[in-house]
Amino acid sequence: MTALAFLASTAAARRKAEKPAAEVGAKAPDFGLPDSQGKQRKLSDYKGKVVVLEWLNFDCPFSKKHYRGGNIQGLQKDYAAKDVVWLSIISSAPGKQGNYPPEDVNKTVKERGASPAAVLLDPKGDVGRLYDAKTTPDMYVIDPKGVLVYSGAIDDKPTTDVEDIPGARSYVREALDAVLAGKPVKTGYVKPYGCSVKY
Amino acid sequence: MKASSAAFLLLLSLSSPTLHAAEEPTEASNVRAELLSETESLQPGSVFTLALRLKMSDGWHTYWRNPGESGMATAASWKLPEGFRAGELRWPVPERFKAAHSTSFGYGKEAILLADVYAPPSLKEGQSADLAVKVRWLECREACVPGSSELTLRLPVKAAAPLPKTELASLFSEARRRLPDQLGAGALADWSARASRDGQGIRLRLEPPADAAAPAGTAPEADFFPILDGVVADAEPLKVEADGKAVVMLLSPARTPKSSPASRLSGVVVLKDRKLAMEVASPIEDPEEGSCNAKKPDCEKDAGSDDGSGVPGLDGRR
Repeated sequence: MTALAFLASTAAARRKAEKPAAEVGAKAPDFGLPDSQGKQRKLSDYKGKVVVLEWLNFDCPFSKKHYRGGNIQGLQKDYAAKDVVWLSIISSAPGKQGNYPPEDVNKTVKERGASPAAVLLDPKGDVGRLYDAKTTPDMYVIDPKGVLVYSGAIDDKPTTDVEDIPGARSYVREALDAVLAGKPVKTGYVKPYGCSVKY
Repeated sequence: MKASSAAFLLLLSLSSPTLHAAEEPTEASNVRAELLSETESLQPGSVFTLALRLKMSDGWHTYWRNPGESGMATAASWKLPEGFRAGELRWPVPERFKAAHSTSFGYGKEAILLADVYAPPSLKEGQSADLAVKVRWLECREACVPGSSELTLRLPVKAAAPLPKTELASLFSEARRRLPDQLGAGALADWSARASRDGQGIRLRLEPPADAAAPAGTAPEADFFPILDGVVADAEPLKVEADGKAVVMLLSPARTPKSSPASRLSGVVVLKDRKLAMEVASPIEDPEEGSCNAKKPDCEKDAGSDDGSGVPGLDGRR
């Protein structure tokens, strides 16, 4: 076998680095989606408020963990009292896990005692891709100036066990408490854990 | 079948056994888990090897130590007698799974995770040791299901060096064959790696020894599986090129606001055309001063420590 004596720069795999539109520290990109009640919503509707985006799949064991354990419901209630807007977003494509007709979405939200301001339906996955949402759950916190201050994991225990919730470090809580106190968010990004978003 | 015997059988199948004897595999939907010992006995004051074998049904997979952008690494919690110590799981080279908009790492058919266990010197011939482990995993096809299994194994204590279980010898040697080599050690002693930061990401150069054969084909095929979090992205390398016999990979930086850039790259490199897989750990060299300047307008400066996002130094070794 002859050795190659020249510089062979054959690229076996070439891919452009994709920069997501949503970057921690930058303005959260605006978007519009219908909610499960048929109302059209835009992120910019909530200018001046603290907003939480929660990527959701009712059937994903990681999403289920945080609902079974009351984590999501608790966060929604605690922070609604502080005027935080919680938007759940379903980016599952038609025919894929987690894609439900609006009536079923409303039914499940009610059954679980959840209280999001709205559940936004993103079956084309446009907003999911805009935010580079990778998992359910994948959490985003936006400050009143519209800047994305946190993106990523809901907490630091990447398991499906409800028992792991009480002892876990809640990144969402930390980010919200910091923003509400006018302080910088110390941990801006933690790699999220969950099922892949079913685009 | 009479109704009463049908009911009795139904009752049997619903009862959940907590512990399973020795090598009886546990059925947990799409994954069967077994705990196997390489040897027939154990010797006080020495190390022996166990295997956690997961067999997946067609189309289902479980995950590597870094599951990738979704999923969950298989985890083992050992319940061992006093004085025993289990080492970290040793992971075979993973496969890359690509879904719409996300990538993950794991095993499609079978995963044999080895663990070395230390037996204390205080044991006496004639005793036996009950070794137990709770294994937790995530099995996925399109949807994902968490699974777990509690497995036990009893081994007799013998003063003499233990004999291998002949019927498992080929399984254990296959499991070892599937482990990545260590770059710079053993068979890869004369290989070297160099990681450096450039404008677009992290460049990793792998240099075989001077007397290595040229690889088959002209286009190198390689992949990188990160072990440390927060350094490079889980996505496929941006570029893979040959430079003589060396392979140069350009890896996307991890998506994380950087206050201080990561200083160490760690992961498993697979060189497909050379049929090699190696674990690599290398400090990341900073670009030379002035390399990001007007002459290279597309070179991005690393985020300095003044961006205020204050992410604590990540040493997220999985």
